[in-house]
Amino acid sequence: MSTADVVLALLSRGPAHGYDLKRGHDTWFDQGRPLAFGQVYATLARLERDGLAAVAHTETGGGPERTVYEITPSGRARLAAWIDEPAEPAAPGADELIRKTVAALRLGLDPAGFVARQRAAHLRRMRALEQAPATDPTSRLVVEHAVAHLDADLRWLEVAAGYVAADGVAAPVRLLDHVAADDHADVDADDHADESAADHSDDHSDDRSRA
Amino acid sequence: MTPQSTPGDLPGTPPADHLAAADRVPAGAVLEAHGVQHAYRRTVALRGVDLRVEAGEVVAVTGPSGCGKSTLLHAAAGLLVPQAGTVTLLGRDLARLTEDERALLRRREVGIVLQFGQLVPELTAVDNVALPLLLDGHPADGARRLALDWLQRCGAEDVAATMPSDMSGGEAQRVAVARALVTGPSVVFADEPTGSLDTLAGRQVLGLLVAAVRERGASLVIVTHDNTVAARSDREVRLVDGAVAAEAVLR
Ligand SMILES: Nc1ncnc2c1ncn2[C@@H]1O[C@H](COP(=O)(O)OP(=O)(O)OP(=O)(O)O)[C@@H](O)[C@H]1O
Ligand SMILES: [Mg+2]
Repeated sequence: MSTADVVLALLSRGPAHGYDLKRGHDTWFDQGRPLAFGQVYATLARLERDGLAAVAHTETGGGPERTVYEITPSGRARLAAWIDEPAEPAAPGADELIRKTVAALRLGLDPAGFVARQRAAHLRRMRALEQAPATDPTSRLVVEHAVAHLDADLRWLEVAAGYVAADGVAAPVRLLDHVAADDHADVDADDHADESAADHSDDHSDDRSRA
Repeated sequence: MTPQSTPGDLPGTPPADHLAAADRVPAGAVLEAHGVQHAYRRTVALRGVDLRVEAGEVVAVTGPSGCGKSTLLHAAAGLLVPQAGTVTLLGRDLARLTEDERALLRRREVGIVLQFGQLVPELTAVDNVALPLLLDGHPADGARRLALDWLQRCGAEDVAATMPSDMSGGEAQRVAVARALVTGPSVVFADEPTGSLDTLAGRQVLGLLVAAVRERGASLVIVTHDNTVAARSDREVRLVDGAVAAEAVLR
């Protein structure tokens, strides 16, 4: 996410000075890293240079002088264009999780242990997110997004764990080809590969009705 | 106020001599399972599983399909007696109880939510929820009032007078959760309670179950495939091929 776009979005609500914008940002993204003051002012300077924001006036009463900014018409156009364009889905291959998992599996460095530790870390993070009090409905949305991503990572890790369990040698080679596949059937079949076919029907309800 | 029955007042409460000293769980544990093994004909479902659940703890049991989760849950809840190993539930060695004694223990002190077909088809929602109380000789009026109260807490008051065949999957699950909680159990076992629901509906029912259990300080063992449900637990126990493959403390 670009800070400039978010600052423009905040400015579109009405004229504001740097501190207002920082506070606005930190309220919208209260699970994320707070916006540094230096970054606010650098961003405002860039927006002003590009004609997307302009100085509205300067407040002098009491404390230090404060510059109040407002969005310009081309700033509004730029904001609308940003909102219109869907966000780029996270690029595969660049993620630290993928880098580590692939390395752990390819190197055979206790892959099952790696998956278990990564799973625990993800679940803990998910639990913390679920428990964080949502200050307003949109901050809840931001949490939901993070949770959905963690869930996707966990499903992918489960596929990775399935390959490890099924075949420690072939697994590393196959892993990247199957990144997107939430292939439970595959995992299950591998899981029972050593059981007798006569006893193990694919359909559990069948098994139960015979019992 | 949390509706709650008082099992001690009821007729037929198992006498104290069922709590022989050797059967007592260590302080704080509501469930202690040791070396549990079970096979269905030649399919080995559990290969020596240990599971301990503390009072007030929410434990998620996860793992690939067929790894033995349901078998473990059924053994822990006294729905089946495993071929080897011991299960001590609320201070009772389950293998040493008769079938009737296990049924009584389940009805009075344990809440159970299963995936399908658990509501009595001939009874309305409110009568389904009141059933465990009625079976224990509670006056019908009070039992129905408590049942309605729980249906309301579970967001199912609209179907109070509805028969199971006329409920949606989500409604039936809410009713099942209300029935599991109506007796004020100190431990609840839930097996894929949202398996038949879409994600959002399932998570709502689950959220409700976990919140109700936590509010009472009861314990919950929940089998799930949903990571967000596992993430609401205090500890995840992961089974692979009939054995505990990993445990993660999330608290
Ligand atoms: N009544 C039965 N008769 C025969 N085999 C059974 C019976 N119940 C379970 N099994 C087998 O025992 C093994 C463990 O089954 P279980 O139902 O405990 O797994 P699970 O982890 O709950 O699976 P799922 O996630 O699909 O519900 C499986 O191989 C299953 O096919
Ligand atoms: Mg099952």
